[in-house]
Amino acid sequence: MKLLEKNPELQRNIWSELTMQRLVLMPSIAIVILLLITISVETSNLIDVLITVSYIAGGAILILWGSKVAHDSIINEYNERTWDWQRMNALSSHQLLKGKLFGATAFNWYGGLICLSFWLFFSIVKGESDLFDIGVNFLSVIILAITLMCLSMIIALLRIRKGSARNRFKSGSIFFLIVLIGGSFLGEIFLSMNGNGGLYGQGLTLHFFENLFYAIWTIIGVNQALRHELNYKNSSKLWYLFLITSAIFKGFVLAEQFDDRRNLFFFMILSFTIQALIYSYLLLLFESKEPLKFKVLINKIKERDWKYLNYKAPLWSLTFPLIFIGVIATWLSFDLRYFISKYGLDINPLIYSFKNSLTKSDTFAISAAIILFVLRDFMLMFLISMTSFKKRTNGAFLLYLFILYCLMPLLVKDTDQLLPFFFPYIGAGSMLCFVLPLLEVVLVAFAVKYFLKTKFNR
Amino acid sequence: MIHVSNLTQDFTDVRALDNVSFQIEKGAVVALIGPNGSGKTTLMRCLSTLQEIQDGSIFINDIDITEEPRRIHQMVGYLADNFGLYDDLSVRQCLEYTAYSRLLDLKDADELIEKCAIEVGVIDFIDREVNTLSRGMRQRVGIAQAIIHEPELLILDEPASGLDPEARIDLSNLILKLKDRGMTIFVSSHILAELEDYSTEMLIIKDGRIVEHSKLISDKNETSDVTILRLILEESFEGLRLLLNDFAETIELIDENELTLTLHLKEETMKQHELLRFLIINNVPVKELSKVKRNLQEEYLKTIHKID
Repeated sequence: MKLLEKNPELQRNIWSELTMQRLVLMPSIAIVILLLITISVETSNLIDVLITVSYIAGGAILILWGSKVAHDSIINEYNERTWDWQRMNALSSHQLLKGKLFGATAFNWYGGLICLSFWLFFSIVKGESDLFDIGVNFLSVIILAITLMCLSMIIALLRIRKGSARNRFKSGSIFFLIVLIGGSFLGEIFLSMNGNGGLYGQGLTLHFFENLFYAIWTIIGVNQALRHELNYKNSSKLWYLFLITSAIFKGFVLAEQFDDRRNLFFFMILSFTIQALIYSYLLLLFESKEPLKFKVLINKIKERDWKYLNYKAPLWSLTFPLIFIGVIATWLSFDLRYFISKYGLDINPLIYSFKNSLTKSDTFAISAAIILFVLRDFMLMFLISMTSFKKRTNGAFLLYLFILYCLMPLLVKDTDQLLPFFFPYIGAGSMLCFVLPLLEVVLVAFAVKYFLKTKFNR
Repeated sequence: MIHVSNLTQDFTDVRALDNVSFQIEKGAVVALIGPNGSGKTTLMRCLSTLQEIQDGSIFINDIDITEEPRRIHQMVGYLADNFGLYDDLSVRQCLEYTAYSRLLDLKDADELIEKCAIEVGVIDFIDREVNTLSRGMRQRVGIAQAIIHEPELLILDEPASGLDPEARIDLSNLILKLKDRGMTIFVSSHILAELEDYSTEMLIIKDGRIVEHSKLISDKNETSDVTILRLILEESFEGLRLLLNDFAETIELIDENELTLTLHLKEETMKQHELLRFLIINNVPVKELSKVKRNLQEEYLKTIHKID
């Protein structure tokens, strides 16, 4: 069976990406660069230079450039209006995924693997590292490439989901994000393989499996996002399964890191809560903030339309309630005083200073305040999206967060009674810690209600 | 074939479609006309399942498009206003890709591609890259991609915009050819003169509302069994209305303006020459009896102004 019959999307991308000119050019350039280094570098450890250069080149081509290409492959289809063909064709989400993941980035895989092959070759020739460790490091790079490419594709799919048919997108900020994340992970792998510490360590460590775990979930994530584009119904179960398994895995990692297996269950709950917080905010930034969708969501919740909520509600709204559950579960499951006395100093000396004065009602007030601040932030985001800032919603939202969580507390840092306005602060008593954010929530809620009413008065 | 009821589509700042309802029979060529921003593209994207429906329903061949969108994709061919082509591929590669991605059980696409390329007139430049083609040629490639899987419903959004006169005539002929094959076609355009050549129905949309849905009869609409006739009298004839009442099931008096009458004639039961003979036998002072071609542009402007 020819590739066109098996996966037309993969074949189409290969037609576009792997032209004869490119096939010849890439290895030629790689060989010329390595030859130039061999001739010009006067050092006793030439092989180390060759290893470093081929690794950096491989990583840059495959991971950094590859992730950008993966992102742009979807954004360009959307901008060039070929995305409609993709959405209406009969291919499955798996076929599209394979076609885009390995097809749109075919040139990056080709070039990256050539450079990484040189890196493998020079590492083996050098003969200082164990063959198994070299293989694991090679695999780590491949897994990292897949993870970041998939992540870029998810971001692209989330971006086009919130666009209308007439929107056009750019990819500059995403490339910056890719370089930041990809570069730091590449550095960690490089440190590990040289035995200079690094996150990964030698051999099959927990971080290797963590990377593998997230690679698998990002692949599933792309598949789900593609299913959405192809008009399949996606149940929210898979998203919740990801959050739960991720919390369990992260719990293990944290327990290992802190060498505190006694509190494994707590670490899992804590991971669950932190992830719910992080993913909610991230999704809020990436997903659509159309006031209309917000209004529809409110109506569907009022109507108890579970089918809509299960299949069509935005992911931020599905994750948001988990923050409540997580914060309450965290409050119930752990002795906060023990935690603060053990880890508080590492986190923040201010937290540590409360270790002997905290009561159960204080910790409850802090937990409630966290929930109220999250609620305020989310409503604030929708308030911004309904005002004249709507075209720069994310920027305005981040600016507000910076002012509210960083700038204002700095300005009023000497007035204890005002601090609970800006973050969960127990220093002024549990009552203020709870009441002041509650006041903010009520004010923002009224504003949201007013704007919704005036905006959709039709 | 298409049954749209109470379709309402909101965007944050505007209601794109407002309680839209209509039905289209199989084999019709529907001209969707309206000012810019009236909701044409939104309606077409809803029909193609590319736009999620907020309120109301659309059934195509009795299939609810919100329940089985993937089945609808197989029945529908959609061509957006800028055609959306892969510029770095050749025309053959574009068609191969589309054929294999729309017809999963396809074993050998060569014959199908050749047939389709001949039909839309791209066979002569099938091995050229798309980015080297003129707008007219690109449009043909787009239509070829949209019909390669033999859809029952073809939706064309502004297919004639930016085309030269020759390409527009080719497009008209191609649409007529597809219509003859039994395809139901939905076309939006600003160039009303061309829509007139092949459309059998007209949907006028304004501010998201359907303000007119009527059948069109033109010289080329052979499927219609009703002919519009204009009867001009030399002088007034008092008994004419009574005379026509005897054939109430065949002749319908639509409009009467001094000496000019507009009639609907069912040609199944009476031909034009038979009507003329009948009128002359009955001493009606006929000055002229002629077939009226409905002018889409006039109809459109009349409707739009009536609403304004």
